[in-house]
Amino acid sequence: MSEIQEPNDTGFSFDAYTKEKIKSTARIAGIVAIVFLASSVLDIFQYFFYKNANTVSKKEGFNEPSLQQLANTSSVFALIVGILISLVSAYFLYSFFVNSKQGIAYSEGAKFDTGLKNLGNFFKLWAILITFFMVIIFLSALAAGMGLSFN
Amino acid sequence: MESHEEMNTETPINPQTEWAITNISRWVRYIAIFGFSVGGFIVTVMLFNGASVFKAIEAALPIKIQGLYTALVIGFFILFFIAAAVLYFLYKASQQLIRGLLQKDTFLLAEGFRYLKNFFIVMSVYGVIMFLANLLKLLYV
Repeated sequence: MSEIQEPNDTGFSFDAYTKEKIKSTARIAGIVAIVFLASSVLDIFQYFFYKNANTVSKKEGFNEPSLQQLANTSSVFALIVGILISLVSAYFLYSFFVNSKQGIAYSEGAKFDTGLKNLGNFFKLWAILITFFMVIIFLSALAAGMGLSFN
Repeated sequence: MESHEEMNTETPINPQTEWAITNISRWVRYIAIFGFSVGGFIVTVMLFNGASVFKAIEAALPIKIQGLYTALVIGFFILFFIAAAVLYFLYKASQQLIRGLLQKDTFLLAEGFRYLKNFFIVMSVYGVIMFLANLLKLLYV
């Protein structure tokens, strides 16, 4: 199936079959970007719609104002971080979709490269996030385990 | 028609494209291997302590219905195998992309992108389900 053309910088070229696969991948990535965006909008709407649901801590008996404020601040912070991650992921995937499609359609190598770089950035972002969150979970479990053993 | 003609022409792979594909493969392989490691750890924990973990989760849930324990076990297995499939797609994509570059074989590159497409299909289905679940929660609670 591989077709090697006349010598160029790397010695081979994308054929029509490969370009079709990249285009279809980019199309699905574009859909995922839209889903990320829609989820962000829904999260914002959900936060303001359920603003008064932060009374969970009150129901549990933790009704000091400082704890209430901490709970509210934490939920706002988590919302902002979540939305930022969704928006950045959506940007990378949408950029991959648009630039790859245009790069293939108009044989613009620079746009195509930009699209692929943004796809790489998307996976880099999630690799870093996953590592970070797993480290946090591991340290929390370690701290919980040490706390239990000292009690 | 114009798009069809463009698709039929060969597009040379320059060093920047090669670097971009190598970069994609590197991060995708990292996520896949990390995921397999975490999955292996979870399997080990579940083998030794699975029943007590599920019982603890069942006790912690606010809803108490008959068959909840069984539902938790089945749900865990479904999610586990979906996650395994997703990681498999990522690992194969990384492998095929790197092999395609090393062997200068565009068919292998195409296969790599096909596995990435499968990964994005699973992600989009999951994303849509979560979006609809949150939307229903918003509308009916």
